[in-house]
Amino acid sequence: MTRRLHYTRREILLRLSWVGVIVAGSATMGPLVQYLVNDEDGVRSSLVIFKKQLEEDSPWENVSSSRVWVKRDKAGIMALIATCTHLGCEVRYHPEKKQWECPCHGSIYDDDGNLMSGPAKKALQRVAVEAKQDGSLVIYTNKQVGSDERA
Amino acid sequence: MKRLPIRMLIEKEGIAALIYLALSLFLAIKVVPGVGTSGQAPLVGQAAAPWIFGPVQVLLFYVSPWISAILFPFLIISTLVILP
Amino acid sequence: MNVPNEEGVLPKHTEKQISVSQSTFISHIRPRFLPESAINIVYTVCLGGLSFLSFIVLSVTGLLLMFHYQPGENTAFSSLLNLSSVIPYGALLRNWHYWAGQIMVITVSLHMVRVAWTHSYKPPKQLNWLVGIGLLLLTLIMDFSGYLLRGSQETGAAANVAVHIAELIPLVGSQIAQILFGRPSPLSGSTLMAYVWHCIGLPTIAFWLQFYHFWRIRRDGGVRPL
Repeated sequence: MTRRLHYTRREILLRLSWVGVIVAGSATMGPLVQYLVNDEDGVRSSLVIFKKQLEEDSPWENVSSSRVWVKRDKAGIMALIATCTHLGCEVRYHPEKKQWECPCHGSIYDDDGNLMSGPAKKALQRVAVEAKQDGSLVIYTNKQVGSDERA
Repeated sequence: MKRLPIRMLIEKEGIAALIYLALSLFLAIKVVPGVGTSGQAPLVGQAAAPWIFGPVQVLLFYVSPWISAILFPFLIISTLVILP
Repeated sequence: MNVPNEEGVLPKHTEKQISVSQSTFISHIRPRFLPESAINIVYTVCLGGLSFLSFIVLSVTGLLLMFHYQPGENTAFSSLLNLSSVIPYGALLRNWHYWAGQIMVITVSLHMVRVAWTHSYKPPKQLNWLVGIGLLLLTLIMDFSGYLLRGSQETGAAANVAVHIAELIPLVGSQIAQILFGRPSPLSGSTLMAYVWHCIGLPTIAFWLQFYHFWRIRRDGGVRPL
Protein backbone atom coordinates (compact mmCIF):
# COMPACT_ATOMS: atom_id res chain seq x y z
CA MET A 1 0.00 0.00 0.00
CA THR A 2 1.49 3.31 -1.01
CA ARG A 3 1.61 5.95 1.67
CA ARG A 4 0.38 9.34 0.63
CA LEU A 5 1.56 12.63 2.00
CA HIS A 6 -1.56 14.62 1.24
CA TYR A 7 -5.09 13.73 2.11
CA THR A 8 -7.87 16.07 1.15
CA ARG A 9 -10.14 17.54 3.79
CA ARG A 10 -12.97 15.58 2.31
CA GLU A 11 -11.21 12.25 2.74
CA ILE A 12 -10.27 12.92 6.33
CA LEU A 13 -13.78 14.00 7.21
CA LEU A 14 -15.18 10.92 5.54
CA ARG A 15 -12.88 8.63 7.46
CA LEU A 16 -13.68 10.36 10.72
CA SER A 17 -17.39 10.06 10.07
CA TRP A 18 -17.04 6.35 9.39
CA VAL A 19 -15.09 5.92 12.61
CA GLY A 20 -17.77 7.87 14.43
CA VAL A 21 -20.52 5.78 12.93
CA ILE A 22 -18.79 2.52 13.85
CA VAL A 23 -18.09 3.69 17.39
CA ALA A 24 -21.67 4.83 17.84
CA GLY A 25 -22.90 1.56 16.38
CA SER A 26 -20.90 -0.61 18.73
CA ALA A 27 -21.85 1.58 21.66
CA THR A 28 -25.49 0.72 21.05
CA MET A 29 -24.91 -3.02 21.34
CA GLY A 30 -24.64 -3.04 25.11
CA PRO A 31 -27.77 -0.97 25.77
CA LEU A 32 -29.62 -3.00 23.14
CA VAL A 33 -28.90 -6.23 24.97
CA GLN A 34 -29.91 -4.63 28.26
CA TYR A 35 -33.17 -3.48 26.78
CA LEU A 36 -34.03 -6.85 25.27
CA VAL A 37 -33.09 -8.92 28.30
CA ASN A 38 -35.00 -6.89 30.84
CA ASP A 39 -38.05 -8.65 32.23
CA GLU A 40 -39.49 -6.07 34.61
CA ASP A 41 -42.67 -6.00 32.58
CA GLY A 42 -43.60 -9.54 33.52
CA VAL A 43 -42.62 -9.90 37.15
CA ARG A 44 -43.96 -12.93 38.88
CA SER A 45 -43.81 -13.54 42.57
CA SER A 46 -41.72 -16.48 43.71
CA LEU A 47 -44.02 -17.07 46.68
CA VAL A 48 -46.75 -19.70 46.67
CA ILE A 49 -49.48 -20.04 49.31
CA PHE A 50 -51.12 -23.29 50.44
CA LYS A 51 -54.18 -23.04 52.62
CA LYS A 52 -55.45 -26.54 53.31
CA GLN A 53 -54.58 -28.57 56.34
CA LEU A 54 -52.09 -31.41 55.92
CA GLU A 55 -52.44 -34.67 57.82
CA GLU A 56 -49.38 -36.45 58.99
CA ASP A 57 -48.01 -39.01 56.51
CA SER A 58 -50.56 -38.14 53.85
CA PRO A 59 -49.34 -38.40 50.29
CA TRP A 60 -47.86 -35.44 48.40
CA GLU A 61 -50.40 -32.74 47.68
CA ASN A 62 -50.17 -30.30 44.82
CA VAL A 63 -50.54 -26.57 45.33
CA SER A 64 -52.91 -25.66 42.52
CA SER A 65 -51.58 -23.86 39.42
CA SER A 66 -47.99 -24.48 40.36
CA ARG A 67 -45.35 -27.16 40.38
CA VAL A 68 -45.11 -27.09 44.16
CA TRP A 69 -46.06 -30.21 46.12
CA VAL A 70 -46.24 -30.30 49.91
CA LYS A 71 -46.29 -33.16 52.41
CA ARG A 72 -46.20 -33.57 56.15
CA ASP A 73 -44.26 -36.35 57.79
CA LYS A 74 -43.40 -37.07 61.42
CA ALA A 75 -40.76 -34.36 61.49
CA GLY A 76 -42.73 -31.60 59.87
CA ILE A 77 -43.73 -30.10 56.53
CA MET A 78 -41.65 -30.17 53.36
CA ALA A 79 -42.13 -28.78 49.86
CA LEU A 80 -40.82 -30.09 46.55
CA ILE A 81 -40.71 -28.63 43.04
CA ALA A 82 -41.96 -31.13 40.44
CA THR A 83 -39.49 -30.06 37.79
CA CYS A 84 -37.27 -32.73 36.28
CA THR A 85 -33.61 -31.92 36.91
CA HIS A 86 -32.73 -33.14 33.41
CA LEU A 87 -34.28 -30.54 31.13
CA GLY A 88 -37.14 -29.09 33.11
CA CYS A 89 -40.30 -30.93 32.17
CA GLU A 90 -43.00 -31.26 34.81
CA VAL A 91 -42.78 -34.67 36.49
CA ARG A 92 -45.93 -36.56 37.37
CA TYR A 93 -46.53 -38.15 40.74
CA HIS A 94 -47.82 -41.71 40.71
CA PRO A 95 -49.25 -42.30 44.19
CA GLU A 96 -49.80 -46.03 43.62
CA LYS A 97 -46.16 -46.58 42.78
CA LYS A 98 -44.93 -43.82 45.08
CA GLN A 99 -42.75 -42.52 42.28
CA TRP A 100 -42.25 -39.35 40.30
CA GLU A 101 -41.95 -39.99 36.57
CA CYS A 102 -40.88 -37.56 33.91
CA PRO A 103 -42.90 -37.92 30.66
CA CYS A 104 -40.24 -36.35 28.47
CA HIS A 105 -37.18 -38.58 28.74
CA GLY A 106 -38.19 -41.13 31.37
CA SER A 107 -36.37 -40.07 34.54
CA ILE A 108 -37.77 -41.72 37.65
CA TYR A 109 -37.53 -40.41 41.22
CA ASP A 110 -38.59 -42.17 44.43
CA ASP A 111 -41.18 -40.86 46.87
CA ASP A 112 -38.73 -38.49 48.52
CA GLY A 113 -37.56 -37.14 45.18
CA ASN A 114 -34.25 -38.98 45.09
CA LEU A 115 -33.09 -40.06 41.66
CA MET A 116 -33.79 -43.70 40.78
CA SER A 117 -33.09 -43.83 37.07
CA GLY A 118 -33.09 -41.80 33.93
CA PRO A 119 -31.03 -39.20 32.12
CA ALA A 120 -31.40 -36.81 35.09
CA LYS A 121 -28.49 -36.50 37.46
CA LYS A 122 -29.85 -34.83 40.58
CA ALA A 123 -32.73 -35.31 42.99
CA LEU A 124 -35.86 -33.22 42.77
CA GLN A 125 -35.44 -29.81 44.31
CA ARG A 126 -36.75 -29.10 47.82
CA VAL A 127 -37.65 -25.56 48.74
CA ALA A 128 -38.22 -23.65 51.98
CA VAL A 129 -41.64 -23.68 53.66
CA GLU A 130 -42.93 -21.48 56.42
CA ALA A 131 -46.02 -22.18 58.49
CA LYS A 132 -48.01 -19.04 59.24
CA GLN A 133 -50.02 -18.49 62.39
CA ASP A 134 -53.38 -19.03 60.70
CA GLY A 135 -52.25 -22.46 59.53
CA SER A 136 -51.51 -21.58 55.91
CA LEU A 137 -48.16 -22.34 54.35
CA VAL A 138 -45.90 -19.99 52.44
CA ILE A 139 -43.50 -21.72 50.05
CA TYR A 140 -40.44 -19.81 48.86
CA THR A 141 -39.80 -21.33 45.46
CA ASN A 142 -36.49 -19.51 45.10
CA LYS A 143 -34.92 -20.83 48.28
CA GLN A 144 -33.53 -24.31 47.84
CA VAL A 145 -33.07 -26.40 50.99
CA GLY A 146 -31.81 -29.85 51.85
CA SER A 147 -34.11 -32.88 52.00
CA ASP A 148 -33.94 -32.86 55.79
CA GLU A 149 -35.48 -29.43 56.22
CA ARG A 150 -38.92 -29.27 57.76
CA ALA A 151 -41.21 -26.44 58.65
CA MET B 1 -24.99 19.81 -18.06
CA LYS B 2 -22.19 18.19 -16.19
CA ARG B 3 -22.84 14.71 -14.83
CA LEU B 4 -21.38 13.94 -11.44
CA PRO B 5 -20.65 10.48 -10.00
CA ILE B 6 -23.19 9.07 -7.59
CA ARG B 7 -20.64 9.24 -4.81
CA MET B 8 -21.23 12.94 -4.39
CA LEU B 9 -24.94 12.44 -3.87
CA ILE B 10 -24.30 9.69 -1.36
CA GLU B 11 -21.98 11.97 0.57
CA LYS B 12 -24.59 14.69 0.75
CA GLU B 13 -27.22 12.20 1.78
CA GLY B 14 -24.88 10.86 4.43
CA ILE B 15 -24.49 14.32 5.90
CA ALA B 16 -28.24 14.87 5.80
CA ALA B 17 -28.78 11.51 7.47
CA LEU B 18 -26.33 12.31 10.24
CA ILE B 19 -27.94 15.69 10.83
CA TYR B 20 -31.36 14.03 10.91
CA LEU B 21 -30.22 11.37 13.37
CA ALA B 22 -28.64 13.94 15.62
CA LEU B 23 -31.73 16.14 15.51
CA SER B 24 -34.20 13.34 16.13
CA LEU B 25 -32.14 11.90 18.98
CA PHE B 26 -31.83 15.35 20.51
CA LEU B 27 -35.59 15.76 20.34
CA ALA B 28 -36.06 12.27 21.74
CA ILE B 29 -33.89 13.00 24.73
CA LYS B 30 -35.02 16.51 25.50
CA VAL B 31 -38.70 16.72 24.60
CA VAL B 32 -40.77 13.91 26.02
CA PRO B 33 -44.12 13.28 24.36
CA GLY B 34 -46.88 12.84 26.91
CA VAL B 35 -48.63 9.56 27.46
CA GLY B 36 -52.11 10.92 28.08
CA THR B 37 -54.41 10.05 30.95
CA SER B 38 -54.70 6.54 32.32
CA GLY B 39 -57.99 4.73 32.01
CA GLN B 40 -58.04 4.38 35.76
CA ALA B 41 -57.81 8.09 36.47
CA PRO B 42 -60.93 10.27 36.67
CA LEU B 43 -62.64 10.84 33.35
CA VAL B 44 -61.13 13.54 31.19
CA GLY B 45 -63.54 13.41 28.27
CA GLN B 46 -61.31 15.10 25.75
CA ALA B 47 -60.84 13.57 22.35
CA ALA B 48 -57.50 14.45 20.86
CA ALA B 49 -55.89 13.21 17.69
CA PRO B 50 -52.34 13.87 16.43
CA TRP B 51 -51.79 17.51 15.49
CA ILE B 52 -52.03 16.89 11.79
CA PHE B 53 -55.71 16.06 12.21
CA GLY B 54 -56.32 19.32 14.02
CA PRO B 55 -58.18 21.05 11.19
CA VAL B 56 -60.56 18.09 10.94
CA GLN B 57 -61.23 18.28 14.65
CA VAL B 58 -61.98 21.99 14.50
CA LEU B 59 -64.31 21.44 11.57
CA LEU B 60 -66.09 18.66 13.44
CA PHE B 61 -66.90 21.22 16.05
CA TYR B 62 -68.80 23.50 13.73
CA VAL B 63 -70.00 21.36 10.89
CA SER B 64 -71.62 17.95 10.59
CA PRO B 65 -69.31 14.93 10.73
CA TRP B 66 -70.21 13.95 7.18
CA ILE B 67 -68.78 17.12 5.76
CA SER B 68 -65.80 17.58 8.01
CA ALA B 69 -64.49 14.04 8.30
CA ILE B 70 -65.48 12.37 5.08
CA LEU B 71 -66.16 15.02 2.47
CA PHE B 72 -63.39 17.41 3.44
CA PRO B 73 -60.55 14.86 3.36
CA PHE B 74 -62.00 13.38 0.20
CA LEU B 75 -61.97 16.80 -1.45
CA ILE B 76 -58.39 17.41 -0.45
CA ILE B 77 -57.25 14.04 -1.71
CA SER B 78 -59.09 14.37 -4.99
CA THR B 79 -57.60 17.81 -5.55
CA LEU B 80 -54.17 16.30 -5.14
CA VAL B 81 -55.01 13.40 -7.40
CA ILE B 82 -56.35 15.60 -10.12
CA LEU B 83 -53.29 17.85 -10.11
CA PRO B 84 -51.40 16.07 -12.89
CA MET C 1 -12.31 5.18 -17.04
CA ASN C 2 -15.98 5.58 -16.35
CA VAL C 3 -15.90 9.34 -16.06
CA PRO C 4 -17.57 11.80 -18.35
CA ASN C 5 -15.28 13.85 -20.52
CA GLU C 6 -15.34 17.61 -20.79
CA GLU C 7 -18.68 17.91 -22.49
CA GLY C 8 -20.31 15.53 -20.08
CA VAL C 9 -20.47 12.70 -22.56
CA LEU C 10 -19.80 9.20 -21.26
CA PRO C 11 -17.90 6.43 -22.97
CA LYS C 12 -20.21 4.16 -24.91
CA HIS C 13 -20.28 1.12 -22.67
CA THR C 14 -21.31 3.07 -19.61
CA GLU C 15 -24.31 4.47 -21.47
CA LYS C 16 -25.45 0.86 -21.68
CA GLN C 17 -24.80 0.36 -18.01
CA ILE C 18 -26.95 3.37 -17.27
CA SER C 19 -29.81 2.08 -19.34
CA VAL C 20 -29.54 -1.27 -17.58
CA SER C 21 -29.75 0.38 -14.21
CA GLN C 22 -32.77 2.33 -15.28
CA SER C 23 -34.73 -0.61 -16.51
CA THR C 24 -34.17 -3.44 -14.04
CA PHE C 25 -35.72 -3.31 -10.60
CA ILE C 26 -32.81 -4.52 -8.52
CA SER C 27 -29.98 -2.57 -10.04
CA HIS C 28 -32.10 0.53 -10.36
CA ILE C 29 -31.61 1.72 -6.90
CA ARG C 30 -28.81 4.09 -7.63
CA PRO C 31 -27.67 5.48 -10.94
CA ARG C 32 -24.00 5.80 -11.66
CA PHE C 33 -24.04 9.42 -12.65
CA LEU C 34 -26.31 12.33 -11.92
CA PRO C 35 -26.79 15.76 -13.45
CA GLU C 36 -25.20 18.37 -11.27
CA SER C 37 -28.40 20.25 -10.58
CA ALA C 38 -30.10 17.21 -9.13
CA ILE C 39 -27.59 17.11 -6.32
CA ASN C 40 -28.20 20.70 -5.36
CA ILE C 41 -29.39 20.57 -1.78
CA VAL C 42 -31.62 23.58 -2.04
CA TYR C 43 -33.59 21.84 -4.75
CA THR C 44 -34.79 18.80 -2.84
CA VAL C 45 -33.51 19.38 0.73
CA CYS C 46 -33.22 15.59 0.78
CA LEU C 47 -36.86 15.50 1.83
CA GLY C 48 -37.71 12.27 0.08
CA GLY C 49 -34.59 10.58 1.35
CA LEU C 50 -35.22 11.81 4.87
CA SER C 51 -38.72 10.39 4.73
CA PHE C 52 -37.26 7.01 3.86
CA LEU C 53 -34.69 7.35 6.61
CA SER C 54 -37.48 8.20 9.05
CA PHE C 55 -39.26 5.07 7.91
CA ILE C 56 -36.20 2.96 8.64
CA VAL C 57 -35.75 4.54 12.07
CA LEU C 58 -39.42 3.95 12.79
CA SER C 59 -39.21 0.33 11.70
CA VAL C 60 -36.18 -0.42 13.85
CA THR C 61 -37.39 1.39 16.96
CA GLY C 62 -40.88 0.03 16.40
CA LEU C 63 -39.61 -3.52 16.19
CA LEU C 64 -37.68 -3.05 19.42
CA LEU C 65 -40.70 -1.53 21.11
CA MET C 66 -42.74 -4.55 20.16
CA PHE C 67 -40.66 -6.62 22.56
CA HIS C 68 -42.07 -4.84 25.58
CA TYR C 69 -45.36 -3.32 24.51
CA GLN C 70 -48.63 -5.18 25.00
CA PRO C 71 -51.77 -4.06 23.17
CA GLY C 72 -55.25 -4.34 24.63
CA GLU C 73 -57.45 -2.13 26.70
CA ASN C 74 -56.09 -3.20 30.07
CA THR C 75 -52.44 -3.70 29.28
CA ALA C 76 -51.54 -1.03 26.73
CA PHE C 77 -51.21 1.99 28.98
CA SER C 78 -49.44 0.14 31.77
CA SER C 79 -46.96 -1.47 29.40
CA LEU C 80 -46.33 1.98 27.95
CA LEU C 81 -45.62 3.40 31.39
CA ASN C 82 -43.42 0.42 32.01
CA LEU C 83 -41.46 1.12 28.86
CA SER C 84 -41.05 4.78 29.70
CA SER C 85 -39.87 4.30 33.24
CA VAL C 86 -38.63 0.88 34.23
CA ILE C 87 -37.14 -0.69 31.16
CA PRO C 88 -33.61 0.55 30.35
CA TYR C 89 -33.58 2.74 27.21
CA GLY C 90 -37.31 2.14 26.81
CA ALA C 91 -38.05 5.83 27.18
CA LEU C 92 -35.40 6.69 24.59
CA LEU C 93 -36.80 4.20 22.08
CA ARG C 94 -40.37 5.35 22.59
CA ASN C 95 -39.48 9.03 22.32
CA TRP C 96 -37.35 8.44 19.25
CA HIS C 97 -40.16 6.45 17.64
CA TYR C 98 -42.57 9.30 18.34
CA TRP C 99 -40.31 12.06 17.02
CA ALA C 100 -39.24 10.12 13.95
CA GLY C 101 -42.92 9.65 13.22
CA GLN C 102 -43.76 13.32 13.56
CA ILE C 103 -40.74 14.28 11.45
CA MET C 104 -41.79 11.74 8.82
CA VAL C 105 -45.24 13.31 8.56
CA ILE C 106 -43.62 16.73 8.13
CA THR C 107 -41.00 15.65 5.58
CA VAL C 108 -43.53 13.68 3.55
CA SER C 109 -45.84 16.69 3.39
CA LEU C 110 -43.01 19.09 2.53
CA HIS C 111 -41.76 16.65 -0.08
CA MET C 112 -45.18 16.68 -1.66
CA VAL C 113 -45.17 20.48 -1.64
CA ARG C 114 -41.73 20.49 -3.25
CA VAL C 115 -42.79 18.06 -5.96
CA ALA C 116 -45.91 20.11 -6.66
CA TRP C 117 -43.90 23.32 -6.69
CA THR C 118 -41.40 22.04 -9.20
CA HIS C 119 -44.12 20.43 -11.30
CA SER C 120 -42.36 17.08 -11.01
CA TYR C 121 -45.67 15.29 -11.26
CA LYS C 122 -46.17 16.11 -14.91
CA PRO C 123 -46.21 13.26 -17.44
CA PRO C 124 -44.65 10.71 -17.46
CA LYS C 125 -44.57 10.89 -13.68
CA GLN C 126 -48.26 10.91 -12.91
CA LEU C 127 -48.41 7.37 -11.58
CA ASN C 128 -45.55 8.11 -9.25
CA TRP C 129 -47.41 11.12 -7.94
CA LEU C 130 -50.38 8.90 -7.16
CA VAL C 131 -48.10 6.40 -5.45
CA GLY C 132 -46.78 9.30 -3.44
CA ILE C 133 -50.29 10.32 -2.43
CA GLY C 134 -50.90 6.75 -1.36
CA LEU C 135 -47.75 6.86 0.74
CA LEU C 136 -48.90 10.11 2.31
CA LEU C 137 -52.19 8.53 3.31
CA LEU C 138 -50.41 5.48 4.68
CA THR C 139 -48.15 7.72 6.72
CA LEU C 140 -51.12 9.58 8.18
CA ILE C 141 -52.95 6.38 9.04
CA MET C 142 -49.86 4.96 10.65
CA ASP C 143 -49.55 8.18 12.63
CA PHE C 144 -53.11 7.86 13.85
CA SER C 145 -53.00 4.14 14.62
CA GLY C 146 -49.73 4.56 16.45
CA TYR C 147 -51.31 7.31 18.52
CA LEU C 148 -54.19 5.00 19.37
CA LEU C 149 -51.78 2.40 20.70
CA ARG C 150 -50.98 4.60 23.68
CA GLY C 151 -54.09 3.31 25.31
CA SER C 152 -54.85 6.52 27.20
CA GLN C 153 -58.28 8.02 27.72
CA GLU C 154 -57.76 10.51 24.94
CA THR C 155 -57.09 7.70 22.52
CA GLY C 156 -60.24 5.94 23.67
CA ALA C 157 -62.23 9.04 22.82
CA ALA C 158 -60.39 9.50 19.52
CA ALA C 159 -60.92 5.86 18.52
CA ASN C 160 -64.61 6.03 19.29
CA VAL C 161 -64.97 9.23 17.27
CA ALA C 162 -63.15 7.58 14.37
CA VAL C 163 -65.34 4.49 14.61
CA HIS C 164 -68.51 6.57 14.53
CA ILE C 165 -67.23 8.59 11.59
CA ALA C 166 -66.43 5.41 9.70
CA GLU C 167 -69.86 4.02 10.51
CA LEU C 168 -71.38 6.99 8.70
CA ILE C 169 -70.37 5.42 5.41
CA PRO C 170 -73.47 3.75 4.03
CA LEU C 171 -73.73 -0.01 3.76
CA VAL C 172 -70.19 -0.99 4.72
CA GLY C 173 -69.51 1.59 7.37
CA SER C 174 -69.58 -0.58 10.46
CA GLN C 175 -67.52 -3.29 8.81
CA ILE C 176 -64.88 -0.79 7.76
CA ALA C 177 -64.85 0.59 11.28
CA GLN C 178 -64.39 -2.87 12.73
CA ILE C 179 -61.60 -3.76 10.31
CA LEU C 180 -59.68 -0.56 10.82
CA PHE C 181 -60.11 0.07 14.51
CA GLY C 182 -61.50 -3.06 16.13
CA ARG C 183 -63.80 -2.42 19.07
CA PRO C 184 -62.11 0.21 21.19
CA SER C 185 -63.27 0.64 24.73
CA PRO C 186 -64.30 4.12 25.85
CA LEU C 187 -61.13 4.41 27.88
CA SER C 188 -58.53 3.01 25.53
CA GLY C 189 -58.04 3.09 21.79
CA SER C 190 -55.53 0.26 21.78
CA THR C 191 -56.99 -2.75 20.03
CA LEU C 192 -55.45 -5.74 18.37
CA MET C 193 -56.63 -4.51 14.97
CA ALA C 194 -54.94 -1.14 15.38
CA TYR C 195 -51.81 -2.92 16.60
CA VAL C 196 -51.56 -5.31 13.65
CA TRP C 197 -52.28 -2.57 11.12
CA HIS C 198 -49.78 -0.22 12.66
CA CYS C 199 -46.97 -2.75 13.09
CA ILE C 200 -47.35 -5.16 10.19
CA GLY C 201 -50.04 -4.32 7.66
CA LEU C 202 -49.37 -0.68 6.88
CA PRO C 203 -45.55 -0.77 7.12
CA THR C 204 -45.37 -3.71 4.72
CA ILE C 205 -47.53 -1.95 2.16
CA ALA C 206 -45.60 1.27 2.67
CA PHE C 207 -42.27 -0.52 2.32
CA TRP C 208 -43.06 -2.03 -1.05
CA LEU C 209 -44.74 1.13 -2.29
CA GLN C 210 -41.65 3.12 -1.38
CA PHE C 211 -39.42 0.90 -3.44
CA TYR C 212 -41.80 1.12 -6.33
CA HIS C 213 -41.78 4.89 -5.87
CA PHE C 214 -37.97 4.95 -6.07
CA TRP C 215 -37.89 2.69 -9.07
CA ARG C 216 -40.35 4.87 -10.95
CA ILE C 217 -38.16 7.88 -10.31
CA ARG C 218 -35.20 6.13 -11.86
CA ARG C 219 -37.24 4.76 -14.71
CA ASP C 220 -38.62 8.14 -15.56
CA GLY C 221 -35.20 9.72 -15.76
CA GLY C 222 -34.29 10.64 -12.21
CA VAL C 223 -34.77 13.60 -9.97
CA ARG C 224 -34.37 16.77 -11.97
CA PRO C 225 -35.83 20.24 -12.21
CA LEU C 226 -38.40 20.84 -14.87
